[in-house]
Amino acid sequence: MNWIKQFLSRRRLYSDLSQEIREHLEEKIDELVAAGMSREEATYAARREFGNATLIEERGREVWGWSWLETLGQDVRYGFRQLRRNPGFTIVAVLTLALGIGANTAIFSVVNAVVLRPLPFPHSDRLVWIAESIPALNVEIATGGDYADWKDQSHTLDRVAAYDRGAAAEGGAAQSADFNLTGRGTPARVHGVDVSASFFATLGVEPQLGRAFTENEDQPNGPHVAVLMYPFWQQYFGADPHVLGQTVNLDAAPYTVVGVMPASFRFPGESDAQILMPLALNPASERLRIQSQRLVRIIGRLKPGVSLAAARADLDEIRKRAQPSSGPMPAEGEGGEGNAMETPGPGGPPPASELKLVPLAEHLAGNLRPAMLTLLGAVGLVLLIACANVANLMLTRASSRTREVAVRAVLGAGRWRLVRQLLAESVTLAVAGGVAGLLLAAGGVAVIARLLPARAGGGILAVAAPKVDGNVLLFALAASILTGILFGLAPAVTVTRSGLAEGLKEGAKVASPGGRRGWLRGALAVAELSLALVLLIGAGLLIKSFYRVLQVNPGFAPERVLTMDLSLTDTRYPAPRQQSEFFSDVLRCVESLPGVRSAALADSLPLSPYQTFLMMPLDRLLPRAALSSSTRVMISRLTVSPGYFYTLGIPVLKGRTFTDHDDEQALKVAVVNEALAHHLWPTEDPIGRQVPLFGDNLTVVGVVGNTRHEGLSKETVAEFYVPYLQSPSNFMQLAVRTAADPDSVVSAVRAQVRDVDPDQPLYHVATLQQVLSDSLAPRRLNLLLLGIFAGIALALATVGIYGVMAFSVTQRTHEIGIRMALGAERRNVLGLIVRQGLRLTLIGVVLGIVGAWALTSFLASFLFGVAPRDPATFALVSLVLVAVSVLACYIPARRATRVDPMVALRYE
Amino acid sequence: MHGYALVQHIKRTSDDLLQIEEGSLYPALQRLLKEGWVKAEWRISSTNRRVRTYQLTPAGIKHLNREVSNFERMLEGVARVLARGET
Repeated sequence: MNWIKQFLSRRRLYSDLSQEIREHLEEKIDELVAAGMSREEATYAARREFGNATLIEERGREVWGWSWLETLGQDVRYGFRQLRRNPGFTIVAVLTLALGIGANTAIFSVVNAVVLRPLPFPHSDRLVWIAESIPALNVEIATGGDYADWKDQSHTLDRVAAYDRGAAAEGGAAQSADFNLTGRGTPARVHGVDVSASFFATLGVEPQLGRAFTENEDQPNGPHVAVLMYPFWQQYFGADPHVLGQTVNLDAAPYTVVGVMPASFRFPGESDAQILMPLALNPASERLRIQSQRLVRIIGRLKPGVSLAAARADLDEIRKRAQPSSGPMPAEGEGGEGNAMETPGPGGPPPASELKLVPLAEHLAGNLRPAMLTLLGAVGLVLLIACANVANLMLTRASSRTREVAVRAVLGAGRWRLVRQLLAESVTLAVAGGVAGLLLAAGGVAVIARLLPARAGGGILAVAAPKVDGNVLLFALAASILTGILFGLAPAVTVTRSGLAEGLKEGAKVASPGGRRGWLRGALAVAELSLALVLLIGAGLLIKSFYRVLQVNPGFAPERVLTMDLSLTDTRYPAPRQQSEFFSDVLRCVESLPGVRSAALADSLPLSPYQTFLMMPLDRLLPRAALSSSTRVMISRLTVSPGYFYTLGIPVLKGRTFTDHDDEQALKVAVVNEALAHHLWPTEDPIGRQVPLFGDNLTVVGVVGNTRHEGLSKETVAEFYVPYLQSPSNFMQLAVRTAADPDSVVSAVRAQVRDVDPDQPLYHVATLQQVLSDSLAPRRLNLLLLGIFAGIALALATVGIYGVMAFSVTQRTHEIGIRMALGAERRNVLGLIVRQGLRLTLIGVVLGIVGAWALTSFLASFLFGVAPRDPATFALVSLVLVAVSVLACYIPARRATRVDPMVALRYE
Repeated sequence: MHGYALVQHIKRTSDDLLQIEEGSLYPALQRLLKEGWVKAEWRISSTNRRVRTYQLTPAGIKHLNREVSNFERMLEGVARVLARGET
């Protein structure tokens, strides 16, 4: 505080000091005059005895320790004046830096949200995600038994919560925590999450209205209570403050509202949760781990000071004690989009599992973390290029300032002082660029946030949205200052290096083209080109991957297909027969609509998250010696209506598909896809073969083409299709192929469903094209961002090489004039300059290829159908860079050919 | 006492043994000001001049005593070492 007060009153202090010194000298002079000296002599003697008054006054000021601040202020002010005097240079440099710093700041904002910023929960660093990971199946699961054991026996966890987003595996049918909401306007599908009573205290959140669940409510057959998420409360209760005690009808059962969560609360990993209910586990039966276990997700809160490793060891110990010797192991698919997994009864040993305990934030960031860090690396390269570019601009300008610098040096400025002044100037420039960049970044963050799917990674963005906060501002400032020093240092050092006398010589040629400075400029251009090439190759690989993904034959025709979900309330349709009757009615009504070509049902349409997998040894399907005994294959089972293959455009290769006669009375039949047929009957005809599955003997009646059911870039899976009439389900997806735009039939389809059952919601309505496009969104975003960065890099590098060549031509005007006077043709001159540029470009290309060779392996996980070191991409992209660069050199080269030898020689 | 008088005082009392460049006093005074060991004030001197006088603050006195005792201890130490060297 005192320091600031003193700083503010420093003018007073300084004037006191200089006045005091003046008074001192006067007193001395007066005394000497009184002693008989002449005034002139006295003045001289007084000064001699006093010493260098100016220097002493300066040292007196330095005592206060502000001189560095003051000179900095001076330097910055001077820098501003310099920048104002050269608006052209300033605008180009600021824009270049704004692009570099802006891109970095934008990506950093996302990294900040994904990697650095704590989750919005109290002491969120102690929140951990706990699961058993089964590497062989690439899944992570946790069971109610795990939860009960860890809750009771752990001494490293402060609290532990379990929740279930539904879709547990029980006999294959998805038992979901989602509900059909009725009695509040149009029937709707509501996404519910079942949470343990401990959930609220574990995360450290409380309802803003009402209360959390009590332990008594969190019991099997407990009361029907619910806590509403804020948006649900807004939408269906009009934010009614008297909502507590009212009821919501979910799946035709009333639930009493006991609480409303605050608007700021986001369910970690379940951003679309609308309503919370008690999980109501039965710890006693769960702990036995017999038959079906409830699959849950577990979040723990570590006790203060407990390390991850200690907690891991603690829980692993408990888990191993409880491990059953054998038994069925239900599992849930990776990413947990509701994939149910069964192992067919007792059989092979359960696959090895290991405990996974990671910070919750890390779990939520998921695969977004590497993607964003890779992008941050990429924008870092862009910033380096921008630095090199501005450094080159500064060098050009510096040569015109050598004289000024020399004058300053002669007047007594030390070299360090000069470097400091030039650096202050470049940092001023960089901060100006940083401010402009921050504006760019603010816009960029908004765009990126919109383009990133909310579910990206583990859904962290819904919990922690990227925004420009203190961290980001700090990052932008630090990036600006570092950038300023980085691009200012080389020019500052070179300018102050040159001999003083040389700089003062009137009209001295300041930099010879072959000189040190020319070399530095060339090196900077080479660096820019090589960095740009690295980015371009990265972008090239992503473009090729994207192209490859689009080239993939999905095995189905996504055009003009409308899809939606229908889930029946069990209490309204208890019998399987009622369920299939409802779906048959809907199918019939929709098919009769004008504009509808065909319609079909499936428990999982392509690209939907509802696929059911089985992991089983082949020999259990087909006990035959011919098969290599226990090859485990991932098999998917799909329940479909007869029109499925036609509606989705899946080709029938052999035999027949289903008909309406394949009902519960008929022979149990199945259709297999090519992949499964190949696994089971590599050499024989599969038609008519029998396969035991789910206690039935299925007769194979047809073979259809493979589909990329999980996504274009995913492997095809061996698939079983069974007719829906023989395997009724309370959940089906409806696919409608239309003659024209599929969106045009949406309201008609809704009306048909309403006619069949007015209380039946219809949800997730989207065209298959849209679903397909969404599945590519993360890939497209990566491509878009890296593409933009590579584009910026290419532009900057082109400007860079152009600047170097243009400067070089100016420098060599004299030489070119002589050459032309001695008979050089225009094309000789053209060749001379272009060759010089080409040499720099080729060095840059070689270095860039080496760099890309080393770095593209980081991209491996984002590539599809392309090797990280794809020679074709490397070659093509390098060629493009060379072409662009030669073009950039051509312009100055053309100017060189217009040199008039007479003018060039007379010059000077 | 103001700066000029201070210089004269040092010269006089040290019988010109301590020859200092007169000006070098001022950075030193600034340092004392900064530490808060002295405070300065513009006054009119006995010779009717406008002078800036310095006065020790309580903190300055405390510091001075500490420094003086340190200095004396050091002198004593030096003296003892020299004395032992003689025997």
